[in-house]
Amino acid sequence: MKDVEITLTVNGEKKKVRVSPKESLLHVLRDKLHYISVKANCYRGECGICTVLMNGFPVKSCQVLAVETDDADIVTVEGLSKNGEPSLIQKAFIEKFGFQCGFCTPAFILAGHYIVENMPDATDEEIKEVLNGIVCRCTGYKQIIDAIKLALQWKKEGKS
Amino acid sequence: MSIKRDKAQVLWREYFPDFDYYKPKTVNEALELLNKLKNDHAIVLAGATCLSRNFRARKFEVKHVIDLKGIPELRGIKYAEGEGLRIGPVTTFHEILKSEAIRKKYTALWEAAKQYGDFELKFRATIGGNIAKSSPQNDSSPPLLVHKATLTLASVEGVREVPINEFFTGVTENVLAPNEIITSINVPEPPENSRSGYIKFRRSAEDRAVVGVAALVSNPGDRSKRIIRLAYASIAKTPVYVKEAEEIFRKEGDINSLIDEAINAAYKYVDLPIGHGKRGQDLRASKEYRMHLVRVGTKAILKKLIEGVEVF
Ligand SMILES: Cc1cc2nc3c(=O)[nH]c(=O)nc-3n(C[C@H](O)[C@H](O)[C@H](O)COP(=O)(O)OP(=O)(O)OC[C@H]3O[C@@H](n4cnc5c(N)ncnc54)[C@H](O)[C@@H]3O)c2cc1C
Repeated sequence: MKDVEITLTVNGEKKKVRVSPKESLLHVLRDKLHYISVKANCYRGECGICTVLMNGFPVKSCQVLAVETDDADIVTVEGLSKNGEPSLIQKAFIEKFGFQCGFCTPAFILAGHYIVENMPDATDEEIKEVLNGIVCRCTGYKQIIDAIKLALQWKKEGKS
Repeated sequence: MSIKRDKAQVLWREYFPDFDYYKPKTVNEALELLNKLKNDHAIVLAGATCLSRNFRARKFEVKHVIDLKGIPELRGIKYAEGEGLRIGPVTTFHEILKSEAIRKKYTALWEAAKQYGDFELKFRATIGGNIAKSSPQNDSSPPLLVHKATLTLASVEGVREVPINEFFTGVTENVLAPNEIITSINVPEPPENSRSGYIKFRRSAEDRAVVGVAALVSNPGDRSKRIIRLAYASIAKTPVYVKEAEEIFRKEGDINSLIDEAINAAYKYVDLPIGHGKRGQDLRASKEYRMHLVRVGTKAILKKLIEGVEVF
């Protein structure tokens, strides 16, 4: 009903947007602000494809009301590279071929980024746990997990 | 060939219904609002993991959404030795997992949080939303039942405290009045020397329990002091607390035959289907298989709590 103006930070940039309560964060990011790495799929919180980092944590953006996100800090895949240089996790995905059709890739890269930033000593089991809400229909999970492990190793070695 | 998308259908899936959104800062403000709007399709919102789906599916009419996430009083975990635990309803499963007090003293609840949903949902879904949704499949209910939790419910008319065992009245039904919200989850200090645990049978990470079993065990080797409690998810129209088990485990006799007796008592509560309509049939498990899981799950959790042997 009533539109509201919200201010949110996306990939470090402050954005002012008019949103309606009927819009999800997914809708606002993708269709209003054009961060098209954020994919829309099940709209039920089940597939995890619309994952973004909100205030540092991975969440399913289809389940977040846009009006709730006033003052929120959002990161999408667009925000990972610096000056055209891919981030560690992105390079590792390329190295290990952690994608096939690419549809789920932004979600897995963000989850991987969360692991690299927050869980330096993550075991295989812990990596799998973080990924357990995201579906890859090509079932390339092995390569995705390998890529995340490689990024963790690179980080330890001080590579950037 | 171009595929024509039905525009109406796309919009229906993308948008929530047209409602007004409120984000009160205090409990009183929220209660006043809810009371004023209660007859005009108002609903309170927490993590939205469940509601966002209901909104999109147009499950019910909604005109006013009152978000509880802006109310600091409703968040957080407080534990005081001897007094017990107090959890704000708008506390997420992620926060529950971080609590040492819950992991050590209320292990069943910690294990339920661990096995609840998938990794991402834990940052959003709240324990209050889980209880208020009152699905018989909910993971937080069996642990709260074996720990004899009570809920504080508040409305503009006042506050009341309801034992969790009396809260659920049917599939997604409970004793909350239309102008009432849960303001606190209170869990007493566990009995001396006790341990608790939760086992969830499921098919995939984000799956609801096919069957969930919680148990609390204290002094299993000493009949005069022994306390054993059992509760289940996904076996009937509401979460189930098997009251009879308390008595059974006070009796004399071999513990294994008492466990069998308690399992038979649990069987009596099995009441399928556990939902409404077509989806409520819950085709994930037949009655026989559910009963099998009750047996296997009960034995496994008690083996773990009594003998320290992990079966799964
Ligand atoms: C993919 C997926 C997987 C899931 N897996 C599981 C699972 O494994 N186990 C499980 O138990 N559940 C599961 N759920 C269900 C759901 O996530 C949980 O029930 C969750 O705890 C709901 O909490 P919420 O904060 O998101 O509630 P919301 O969606 O915000 O609200 C749910 C209901 O509770 C009411 N409510 C919320 N807070 C209060 C309050 N303080 N007082 C009164 N009423 C209140 C709301 O009005 C609404 O009716 C799953 C859901 C999804 C989408």
